[in-house]
Amino acid sequence: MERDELYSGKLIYVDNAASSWPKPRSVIKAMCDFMEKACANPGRSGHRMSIEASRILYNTRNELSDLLNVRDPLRVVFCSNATEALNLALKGLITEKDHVITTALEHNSVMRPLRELENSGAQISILKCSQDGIPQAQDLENLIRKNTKLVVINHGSNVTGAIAPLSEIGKITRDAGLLLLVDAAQTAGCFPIDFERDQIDLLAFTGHKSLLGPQGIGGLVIGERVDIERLKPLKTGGTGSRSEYEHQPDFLPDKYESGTPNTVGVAGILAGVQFVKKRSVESIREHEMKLTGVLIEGFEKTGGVRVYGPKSLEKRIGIVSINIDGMPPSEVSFCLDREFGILTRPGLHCAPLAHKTIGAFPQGTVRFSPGVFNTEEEMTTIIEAVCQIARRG
Amino acid sequence: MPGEADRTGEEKLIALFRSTNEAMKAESVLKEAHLPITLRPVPKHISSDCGVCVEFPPDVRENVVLVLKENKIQFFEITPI
Ligand SMILES: Cc1ncc(COP(=O)(O)O)c(C=O)c1O
Repeated sequence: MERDELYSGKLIYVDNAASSWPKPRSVIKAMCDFMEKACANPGRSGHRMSIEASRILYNTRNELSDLLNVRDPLRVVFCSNATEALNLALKGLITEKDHVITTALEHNSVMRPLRELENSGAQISILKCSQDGIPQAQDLENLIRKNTKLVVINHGSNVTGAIAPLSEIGKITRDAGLLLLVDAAQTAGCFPIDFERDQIDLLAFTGHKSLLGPQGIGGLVIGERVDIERLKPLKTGGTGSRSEYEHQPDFLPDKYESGTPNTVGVAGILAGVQFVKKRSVESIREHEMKLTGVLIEGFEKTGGVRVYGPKSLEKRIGIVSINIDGMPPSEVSFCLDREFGILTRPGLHCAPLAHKTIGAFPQGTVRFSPGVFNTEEEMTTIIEAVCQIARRG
Repeated sequence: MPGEADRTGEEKLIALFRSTNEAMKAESVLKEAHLPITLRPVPKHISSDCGVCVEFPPDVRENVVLVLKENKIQFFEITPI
């Protein structure tokens, strides 16, 4: 219903790992309603419209806390996306004396800030992954040094779809007295996350993927073990609180939320999270993994197609990366778009090291990422299209 | 709504917070506890760090304090208006 109204023509959109599409109608409506009826500045004035805008921010923190099992909603700090959240956590926390452990599966939004920190003296170690892209938790302990402060881990790989063994890594990290930063860009909204149980200290999320919201809004959850006196903000400025002081507030979330926020984006995430909760993360996952299973099975039966990532669906999210023998990913993706109206992403997906790990560097892969609104029928059409292209190749 | 207290002639108290974000959390947890509170702008004659505060009748003062403390929400003072 919702999707038929939104789809134009016969497109098959399977690039949800980049940005999900279509969005639930309720998300679009919530954003329009905000723009039309309550687009005042939150936290800056005391009038009813300003209060309503502030309420949207709080309700969203509250819904996100419920989804991720975070105890205090004020520990959810809004940022412009996962990239900003990861930059805040890494640059705010790590000094030139610190050592950080990360994995070979990180997105550039982790790797580049880390390399920048390395240039100013910080030390970085990389936890190896198996060829199907799973970080080897048992090797983590060996990498820990006296000055290790943080372990950073991509929860769901945007390249292979592999899920990291979060609770194992969480336990080792906590036992060693270190902090754990989780990049949940690919998992928040489509894979169960429990901030408390998984012993997470910092979690970055983005609004435009499985939370089904708009682009340009995301956030960082800051756990109780993080000393916020030692977590520097990326920027300082107006917060609407403590206006008579020239120093940045030292409390959450204001310390990290300077400047007028993207309230319309937050209104969109709020509706997105409510949609996800109504369907339930579990049933969304079941749907996406059914589609993923159909794709993998179809591709594996197709001659000349190589499928990357873990064999078991349980170890995956809804992402399938492939290559067709003798054809560059960009060419495959272009054929799929032009001839079949199938929208995918080719290339390196901002994670060069992950491609080295799975043996798909530098050409990259063609990535299919079905979402909550895709159907099994569409998966069959995709398999037929890939078959045709592979036969030509 | 502001002004209601004057109309009924009944004294009201307000609790002040460090930020609107904390005032929002206060509103949410106090309403969940079914306490008769209203979010309102801070009256002009009172200086505060943020523009909104929570208003309530004196007889629920203890409960309000309890709920705020339980939820670890910092509040500055409770004063009559
Ligand atoms: C694993 C991972 N981390 C981080 C990001 C960055 O997200 P955003 O572009 O919304 O900042 C992405 C998405 O591109 C991702 O897949």
